[in-house]
Amino acid sequence: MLRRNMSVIMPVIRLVLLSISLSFVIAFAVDQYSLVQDSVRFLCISCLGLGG
Amino acid sequence: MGRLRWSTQLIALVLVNLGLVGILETGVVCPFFYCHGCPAAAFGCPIGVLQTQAALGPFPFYVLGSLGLFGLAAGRFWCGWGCPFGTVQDLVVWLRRRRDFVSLPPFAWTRLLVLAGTLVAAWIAIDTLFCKVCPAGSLFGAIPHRFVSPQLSFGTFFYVHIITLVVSLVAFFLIGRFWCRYLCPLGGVLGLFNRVSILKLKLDMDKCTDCGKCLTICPTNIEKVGDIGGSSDCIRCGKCIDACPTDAIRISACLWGPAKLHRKSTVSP
Repeated sequence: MLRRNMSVIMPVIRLVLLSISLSFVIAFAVDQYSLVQDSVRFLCISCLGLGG
Repeated sequence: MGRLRWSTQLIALVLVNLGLVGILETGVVCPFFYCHGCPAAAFGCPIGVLQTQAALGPFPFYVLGSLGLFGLAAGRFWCGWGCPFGTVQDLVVWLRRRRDFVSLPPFAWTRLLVLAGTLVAAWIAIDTLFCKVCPAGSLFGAIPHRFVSPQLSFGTFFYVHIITLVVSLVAFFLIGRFWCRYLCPLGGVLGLFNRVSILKLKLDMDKCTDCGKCLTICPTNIEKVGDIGGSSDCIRCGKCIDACPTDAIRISACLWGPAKLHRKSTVSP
């Protein structure tokens, strides 16, 4: 019984999570993609413990 | 399986360093632990970006969505098959050529505790505090920058980085995959998806003879056969697949089916 329920519930959980994640990425990529891009190879002197 | 995994780990290492040849500087976060402060980085570190956005905003919907997609696709396969910091740990274990010096049980909650602490600290201090002590940041960010930017002087946190790296390497030597098992905040997130991910390790209990070889070889010290693949501690490295004499464990992809394991069809006396 539980196994049968899981076989119904699991795909639903997957689909819900997939929809939420995908919608987050699609809706916010325009605004936030460049924020992440700006972080890449950004020389954070204090984070890495380097001085000027 | 072992050679294939070393190959994917090498490919992942090359991919994240494509910034070295100047062809990539993406706004995509990678699905594993890697310092985007590395002079060759091509992708963002999800934990680094989450901290930055916890400190300065906006709410990190894009990164959370990306992590959701990575987790749903493969759970902690990323840890076992791609993570460069995991590769370093595997290398230490390979050089050690023996079993763990210290045997500890898995504690999944410590990774989530580190994650919560990291984000709360960033939010309160308005600074990426975890990055200042991160051992992956030491190895992939701070040390390479000493060679690439020799004009920069040593600051206090450089020495802190070196100390955390040395302590981590000693821990890896004593306990294989120590970081993945107890401290990795990203592993904490991806581990939550292990039971629902599309790509998974599947155990056929009809074939399983309970010989325990899979548990003996497991680098994360999984304690029950039923936890293989589904437990948030499992990094899905596939060593259990190689060790299994009856081929009871396999990698499978399943979008519609249950995450539940196969049960024995007969009852043992």
